[in-house]
Amino acid sequence: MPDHDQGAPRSEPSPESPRRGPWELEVAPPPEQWDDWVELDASAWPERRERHLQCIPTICFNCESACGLLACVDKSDGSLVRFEGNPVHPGSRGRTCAKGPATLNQIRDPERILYPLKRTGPRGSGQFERTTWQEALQDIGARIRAAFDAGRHDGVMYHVGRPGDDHFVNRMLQAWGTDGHNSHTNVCSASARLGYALWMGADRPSPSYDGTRFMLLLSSHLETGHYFNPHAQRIMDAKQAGARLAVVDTRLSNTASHADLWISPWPGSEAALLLGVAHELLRRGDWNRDFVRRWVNWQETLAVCEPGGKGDFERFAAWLQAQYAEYTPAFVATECRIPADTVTRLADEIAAAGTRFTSHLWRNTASGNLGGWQVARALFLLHVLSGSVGTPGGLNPNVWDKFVPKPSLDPPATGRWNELIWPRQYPLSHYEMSFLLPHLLREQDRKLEVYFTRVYNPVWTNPDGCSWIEMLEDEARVGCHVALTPTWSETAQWADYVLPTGHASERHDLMSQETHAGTWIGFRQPVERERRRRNGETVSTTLGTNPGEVWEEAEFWIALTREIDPDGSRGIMRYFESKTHPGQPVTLDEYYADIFDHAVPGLPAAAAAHGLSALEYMRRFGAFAVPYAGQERYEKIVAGAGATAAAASSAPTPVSGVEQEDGTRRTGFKTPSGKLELYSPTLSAWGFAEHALPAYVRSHVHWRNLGDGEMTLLPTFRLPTLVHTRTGNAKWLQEISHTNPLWVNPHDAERLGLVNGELARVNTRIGYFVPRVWVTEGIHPGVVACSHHVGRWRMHRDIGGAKQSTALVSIERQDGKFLLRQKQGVGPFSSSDPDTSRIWWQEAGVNQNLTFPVQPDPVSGMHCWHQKVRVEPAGPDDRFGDISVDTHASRAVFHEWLALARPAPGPEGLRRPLWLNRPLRPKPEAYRL
Amino acid sequence: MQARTVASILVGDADGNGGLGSPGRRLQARGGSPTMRRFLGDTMQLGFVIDHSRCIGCHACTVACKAENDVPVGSFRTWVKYTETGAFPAVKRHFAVLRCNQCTDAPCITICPVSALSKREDGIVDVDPKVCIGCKGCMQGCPYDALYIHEGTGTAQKCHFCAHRVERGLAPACVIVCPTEAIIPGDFHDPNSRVSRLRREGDLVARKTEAGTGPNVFYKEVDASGIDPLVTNTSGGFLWANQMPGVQLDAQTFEALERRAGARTVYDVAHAPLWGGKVASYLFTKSIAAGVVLAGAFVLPGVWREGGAGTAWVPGLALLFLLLTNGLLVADLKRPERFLLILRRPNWSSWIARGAVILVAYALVLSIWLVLAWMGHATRSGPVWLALASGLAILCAGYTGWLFGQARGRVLWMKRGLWMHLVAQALVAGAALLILMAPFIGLGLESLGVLRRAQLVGLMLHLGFMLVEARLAPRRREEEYARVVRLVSHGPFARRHWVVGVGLGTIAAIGLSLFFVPPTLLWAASILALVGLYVEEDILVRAGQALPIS
Repeated sequence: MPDHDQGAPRSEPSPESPRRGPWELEVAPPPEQWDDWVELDASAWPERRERHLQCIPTICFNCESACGLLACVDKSDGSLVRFEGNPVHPGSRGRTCAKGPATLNQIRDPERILYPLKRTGPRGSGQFERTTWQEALQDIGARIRAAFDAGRHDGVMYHVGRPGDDHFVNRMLQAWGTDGHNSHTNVCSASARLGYALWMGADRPSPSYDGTRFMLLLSSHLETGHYFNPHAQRIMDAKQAGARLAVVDTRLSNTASHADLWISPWPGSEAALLLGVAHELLRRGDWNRDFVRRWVNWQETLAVCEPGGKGDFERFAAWLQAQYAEYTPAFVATECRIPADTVTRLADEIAAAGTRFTSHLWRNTASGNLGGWQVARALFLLHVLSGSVGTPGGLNPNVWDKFVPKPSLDPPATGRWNELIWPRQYPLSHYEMSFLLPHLLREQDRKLEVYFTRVYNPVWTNPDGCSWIEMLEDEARVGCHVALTPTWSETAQWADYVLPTGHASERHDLMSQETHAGTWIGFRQPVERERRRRNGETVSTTLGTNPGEVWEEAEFWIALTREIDPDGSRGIMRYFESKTHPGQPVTLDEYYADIFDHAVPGLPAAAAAHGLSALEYMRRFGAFAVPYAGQERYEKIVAGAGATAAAASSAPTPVSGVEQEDGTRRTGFKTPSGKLELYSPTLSAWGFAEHALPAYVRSHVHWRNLGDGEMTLLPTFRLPTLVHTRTGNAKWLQEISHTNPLWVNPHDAERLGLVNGELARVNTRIGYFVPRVWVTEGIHPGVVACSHHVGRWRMHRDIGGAKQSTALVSIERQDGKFLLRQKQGVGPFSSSDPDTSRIWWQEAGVNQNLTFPVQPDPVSGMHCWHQKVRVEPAGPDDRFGDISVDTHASRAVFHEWLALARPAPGPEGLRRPLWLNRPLRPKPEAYRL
Repeated sequence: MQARTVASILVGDADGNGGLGSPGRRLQARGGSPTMRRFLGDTMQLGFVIDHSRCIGCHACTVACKAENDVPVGSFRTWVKYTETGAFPAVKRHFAVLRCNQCTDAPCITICPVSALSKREDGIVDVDPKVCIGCKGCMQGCPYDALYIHEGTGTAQKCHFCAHRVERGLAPACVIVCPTEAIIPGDFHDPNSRVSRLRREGDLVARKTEAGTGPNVFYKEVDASGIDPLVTNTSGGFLWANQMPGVQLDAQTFEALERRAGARTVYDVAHAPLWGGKVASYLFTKSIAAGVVLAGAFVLPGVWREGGAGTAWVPGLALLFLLLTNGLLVADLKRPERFLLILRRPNWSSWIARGAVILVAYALVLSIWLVLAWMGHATRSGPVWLALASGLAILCAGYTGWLFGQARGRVLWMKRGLWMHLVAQALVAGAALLILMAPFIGLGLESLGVLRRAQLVGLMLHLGFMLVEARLAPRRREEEYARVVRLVSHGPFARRHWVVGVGLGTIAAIGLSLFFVPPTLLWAASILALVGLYVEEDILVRAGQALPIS
């Protein structure tokens, strides 16, 4: 029996060494018994009825953490019994959050869409009829083929929520030759991404919690986010090992409740705090001069920011300290409205932790505020000053810790540039300006021939959802809307085709995430299909192994590609053609075998040790720990060095290595200078010279920017049990959390006459919503907060959304004015699941996002979520859940924010700096305007 | 005892000794009282240490448990309570994972009339759904809200430590899912187990040790607000969930007004009151069934002296109300068709089982007496049957006091001397009924005078018990008791209690009972007394369940 204590470092599990708990009982069936695990049937208890299970790994399809699941299937009838954690998965290490086991609810959802549906009445009328995959493929394929043949590649758009896959569709779109990839990034994480990218070329942080001494979270990773479960377990391990934790979050999160120091600043003032800490470290001399000297572009910085003097480091150090001198503890305390000793306390922690200081910022303040990307830069400055970049216990660039293998045949980049997705007004956006789509379609007078929403729900999720409704209704703007989704969503109500695709155990995807200083891949697979394969059946498609006619996207895309290019004459189909059976479409077995055999180092050998092929290994174990290339990679000496740094802006790829003072050439970072860029020549060259250094941008919702009677609404926080629109069909999650009351500090409640439990009206620039009030000490005075994880609705009694999580609404319309009113809340209903008659909760919350105008940050392109609002007690005509929106007003606000943008072209007539990353990167010539 | 690790016991050891999970060995649930078990010696005591320095309140345990054990919506075998303390910015949120404590002296086992609940050799408290009659006694006995009735099967369910997994050597589902490994299972009787080491190392606490149950779930670094329902209040609403309306919420709203709590519950699962009108009515009809004989004992000697006309009415009326009582009892069962199991496999430590025997015996005696009375033998053998019936009537009225005393989750019911109060109430009820029935059953003025005095005595005793109620707290539960009593005296039950139960039902009834003529005043007194009694029984049942116990 293992006798290790909790808190001690633990290596990641593997098939050879599965997870063991720090207790006496075992955690999971041993992998060698996964084909026939005999357990006692809980439902027969206390009768000891044996049940034979097959354990088939897959990965969760709720949030983006890609935690390993082990699907336990009853061998007698193939039914799914439960999902537990995959004990050999290196990222999630056999554990899951509540959403893992609740996957069973999603599979068994009595309201599942089991067959492809086709619209019969007007769009949005709720009239659908059953159709066939073949008919859908033919119609959609013909439309796309026609668009391509007419050169209207931009008329085909794929819009994705959390992709749950790392390469498949991007590669396909590349093969199609479209620049049609639209993601949810800019309603999610764009600002943080830009901040990190400007510093180090990688757009995400990857905290190395193992061995850290101090964690500063501007996030809520003990309850949500990328990567909640994998990170939470490592954060708590670090805490047990003695590391300290500070959490910056305006509202009291579960994460904050575990913090040694909870800081609740005014939203959007966080950069001031962080720069205050930076100044304090500089003032004390508590900073890592060697690291900064070695890895920061200080010469370039000095040359631009303080020209004329000697280019020596001491002058830089003095300049740097002076640069941030205004961020005194007193200034910070006033600006952020936090206790005055916060700066020194944080500085003490960081100084003590040194290179073992780590942090995380993903959404939180970065996503809420104008200039949120500067918060990420300010935070990273602390890592630079402490030398905790890429160190054990420090902060890695995510690209070190994520491994994305691809098929051996790679389609060429497209030469096209889609202005609907990458408008010239936002040359530095990270990434697609997805949430502006209704406005851009109108402004550019364009039409989408085929618009795919793929497990994505912009009507509900995006700001200004009513403009989305108007766009989707307009067949002159959207020719054909295809919703690929396992469940109904608000958006799918306005689809022409609703095509049911699978949940976690019903699809193939390949994922990797930066959960720790290590690399792994995880394989999502259709469990029933794999069960049949193991039992000797030949199964060539997932269709038929899923419930009803639920299919999976990967096979759908291959079939659709074949419809688009039936004879291969367009040069598309060859990327999805079988090598073993030329002329035939590739099977997913062949597709993934190609990847696993050729693109994953160490996997074929590891598989061979088990007597398996690489594909069989992944099907059997679900995950593989790719040999890790180590930390502090920037220090690695570059072989065959000699080239000098090219001019930054025109370099399509970063320079190869950086020459150090000692004459060695090191790998460095993927920035134009190869170093960490304190001063960003890119920002300077693209019209944002005043932001070229990490600085403090006072947010649009900063208290100094509020008018009389205005408050700041913080609408971005998640709940630990739910994830956006995917968990509405999980009864075990819904019964725990199903409302989103408005958090109000008692002082504000008294001032505004708001009563706990009663209704309030929250007025935004374009409308209002009516939530219930929740008076709480857990929110900063002057700020109100409302979770965006609840508030689902449907327009039709039996379609459009899960009855357990949506309110039935009516929508009154008049010339761009919308009034959504709840006709019926949640309640018990009869279905094949007796539990639906036991539903005891009544409310489904309020879809506040509908009342938000688009607020694109002019630099990152991030939708700045936080809102200026006026809060008042609800009037006599207001009812719970009312939502009122004026889309004319939302257009006006769009134009206000658009006016802040500084459009391309940048240097050399480019639309976007070549070195900045972008999904589905086109050829360099496409960058030219 | 030779030290063996849990694992070796469960899955066997290197010497080839079979473990519990090995096919050859099957652990048999063993009944018997906890005292008996202690005498025989324990082999194991499985339990949990829940480490709240690690718990992140994510509810994975809750959901994994539901998946593993198919727990219906609305019911929970384990859940995570959220509480908050302090004021901005020094505000804290706390989590507490709540569940069955696998008690050493489990009150659910004691109170279960049919031994559906039992303690296994490994210390797990398990319930047999094939035996459970759905009386909900275990739910009242448990001071931790750990059991629920499965709507589909109508039987009680609870955390059984995933015994079906443990027998295969696997940790419970809540344990393996936990992202931070905050739930640690193990054998507290094995000094080398991790849970035993944790107990030695740190200051672990358990829930409601004052209930004397010997809980086997221990908490590390849990905030008091999470495990002590007395220091927190649920009436402020939850941060992401609806709240069930009802008597518990009313009680908490009252407590909030009194600012009793320093902490606020911001997420919890609902535990609706289990016993309501049917149980209040059972108390009422049982009072009458017993009281008719008790009051009858005052008048029957006189009646016999005068020739014994109408004697059969006493056993007759008592039997009628006893049948009603039994009917209500059976109707309150979730598995009424299993009613006879109480007699076929009684758990003699349970006052529900003992009570059933008392009711049956009482019914038997009343029936014989009634038959004899009909046959005209009343005057001769009457005194014998009256004596027998009176003894049983006292037991019939009073046993509920002892039964309620076994409800260790409900301190109001555990009040000292409840059985005597119930006997006094029975006297009132019986006298009142006979007074009202007097014209119809041929009781003369003299008898009416005796009944009036009996009713008066009963009412005075009843009033006395009500007035000293605050002083009848069960030992070690004084604070909790005081708060429930205050709910009755000042809280949501106060108006009904003072106006109807005390004012009209007792004081006014006493006042009216002082008058003999006109008889309408006496009848009014009796009617008021009966109404007052019903209201008091109802308050006892509802108020007893009004304070959250978890």
